[in-house]
Amino acid sequence: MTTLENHIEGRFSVGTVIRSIIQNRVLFLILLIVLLSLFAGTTYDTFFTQANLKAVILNIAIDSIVSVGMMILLVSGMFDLTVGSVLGFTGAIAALCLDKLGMHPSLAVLIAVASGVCIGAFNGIIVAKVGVNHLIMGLAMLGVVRGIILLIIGSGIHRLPVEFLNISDGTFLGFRLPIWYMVVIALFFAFMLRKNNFFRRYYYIGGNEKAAAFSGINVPMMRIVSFMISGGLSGIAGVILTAKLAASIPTLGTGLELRSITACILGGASLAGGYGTILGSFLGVLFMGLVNNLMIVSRVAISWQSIVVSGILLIAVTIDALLKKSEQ
Amino acid sequence: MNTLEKRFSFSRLLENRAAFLGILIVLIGLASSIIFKAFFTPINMKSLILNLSTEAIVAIGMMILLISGCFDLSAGSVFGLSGAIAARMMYINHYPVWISVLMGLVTCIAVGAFNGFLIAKIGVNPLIVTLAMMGLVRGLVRIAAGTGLIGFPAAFTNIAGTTLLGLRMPVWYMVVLTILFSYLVSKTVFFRKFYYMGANEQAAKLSGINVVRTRIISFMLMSGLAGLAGIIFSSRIESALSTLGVGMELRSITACVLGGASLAGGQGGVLGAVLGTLFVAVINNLMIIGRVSTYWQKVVTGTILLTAVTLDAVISRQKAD
Repeated sequence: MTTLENHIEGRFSVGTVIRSIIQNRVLFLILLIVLLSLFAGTTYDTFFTQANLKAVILNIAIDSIVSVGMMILLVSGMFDLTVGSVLGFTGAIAALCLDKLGMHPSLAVLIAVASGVCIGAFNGIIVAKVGVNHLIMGLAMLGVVRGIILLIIGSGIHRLPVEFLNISDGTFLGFRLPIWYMVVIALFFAFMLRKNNFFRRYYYIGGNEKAAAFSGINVPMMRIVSFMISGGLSGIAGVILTAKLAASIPTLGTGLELRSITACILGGASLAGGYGTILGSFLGVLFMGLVNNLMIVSRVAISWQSIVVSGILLIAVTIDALLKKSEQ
Repeated sequence: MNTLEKRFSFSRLLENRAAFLGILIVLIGLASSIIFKAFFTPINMKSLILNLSTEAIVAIGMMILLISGCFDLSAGSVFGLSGAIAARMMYINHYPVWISVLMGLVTCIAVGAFNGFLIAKIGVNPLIVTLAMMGLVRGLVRIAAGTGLIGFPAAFTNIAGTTLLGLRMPVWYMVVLTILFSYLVSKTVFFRKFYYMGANEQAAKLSGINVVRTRIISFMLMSGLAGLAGIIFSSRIESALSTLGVGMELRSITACVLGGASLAGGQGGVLGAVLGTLFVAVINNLMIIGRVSTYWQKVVTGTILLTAVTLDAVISRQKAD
């Protein structure tokens, strides 16, 4: 009995309700987040303070901006393993422009984000036009870009002008600016993915690429655009993080691609493509941020933290696969 | 032209990736020995082969997986796990060497079985499973070994320390495993199944191959080989570091893809994996000898991989047209 058949026949048992909630990933994540927060709030009184909650939201801002781009790619059936390296790269470009070339912050930011978009375009062309597998391309480029970062900034640049740091330090209505960047970007792309015809096509491409191509969608062009968006958003995130840390270091962004894909998968994306929402990616990032915060607050050893996060991902995808299997 | 007369053609040779790599390596080797006097010396050659021996063992396991259409991103973490567990048992619990080594290997094979179970039986995507396991196992490595353990009994260090006919043992382990698996993968019925599974999983299943069980075995094999390589490497450097193996899975996949594997599955050979590892090692060695900044090494390796797969894609495009 599939869930749909149960619904049609009006059979609602506890089992089917629970199954429906688990399958509606957004609902399930909200439930998990609420449960987790309640648990954290009652066990540790430092959790529900304004300072802690604001810190959590600020910390997830970078990851969630990148995850917006990653979610669009996942919806279309791809992913971008270079986001971490691009983040570090754009931060390095910005730092170079500011420190070595003495540019005005706005110009430096523009050039940095543009460089991210260029890398994205390159990625997109290799994958969509030349036909290289996106996993291999991502693996190769992530090393190449990371190497280029080392080449251009060596051990790092630690001297950045104050006007640049304000990108991250400034506040608006009591919240730090990165949170607002995250909100604006997420709302914009959520609206686009839902309502805009161009972006809706990514779901079709992810659902069935051949059918999409036959129905007149310019798949290569759209793929290139999606990689450019991912590169550009990684660029914005790179600028924000570099401003936040007031330094550009070569290891910035390592591990970001894995965290981002994890958050998107938690948020409902499927590696096959055709599924996922920006809201889901945001909730996925939020959930992981809360888990991270909880582990810090409860003084869990760092070694255990990666085990917990990996375990969560494994449990989530296993439940997913088991549910899908029992439906057949 | 009569097809019978076309027994030897250059394009056929080029398609055999292992042969192509072999020729390329020889050419580069010849060129390098002329440009760099230090390249073709016994010392350099010995250290080159010694350094790549453990990576080649991991590449063999990865190639078998790639042939069957999967891959394992947790290989690097498993590489570190075996050494960490063996070290912990010897150092802290004072178990004899062979039990510690055995426990290390068994743990790795168990990780492989778990991977295989989730991927083949439950049906979870291999990328996600092995990605998550990469993090999870790395956490286990840190718990087992802290930042690192040093100080092993002689019996352990002898695993990699002894010399035979002028070459260190890791080289011989690599040679034996290469010959063994090269034969197994190309000649035995069991390993042929991986090619079928990789080419068309549905057809393989319908033709009677127990895909689930064979997949689980392939993952166990991968993790077992990674664990073995980890033990050998830990023995060689006489310590178990928690950072051992970071990035190894990517290098391993790079070597295999250079050696002829396709991510879609169904292609590749053990010899290709080892030659791919050799190729990358030679390039790295040349960069060290040529005093090229280490920062360039990542860029060069990535560019080589990118160029190789791009050429591949372009050539197969032209063939299809």
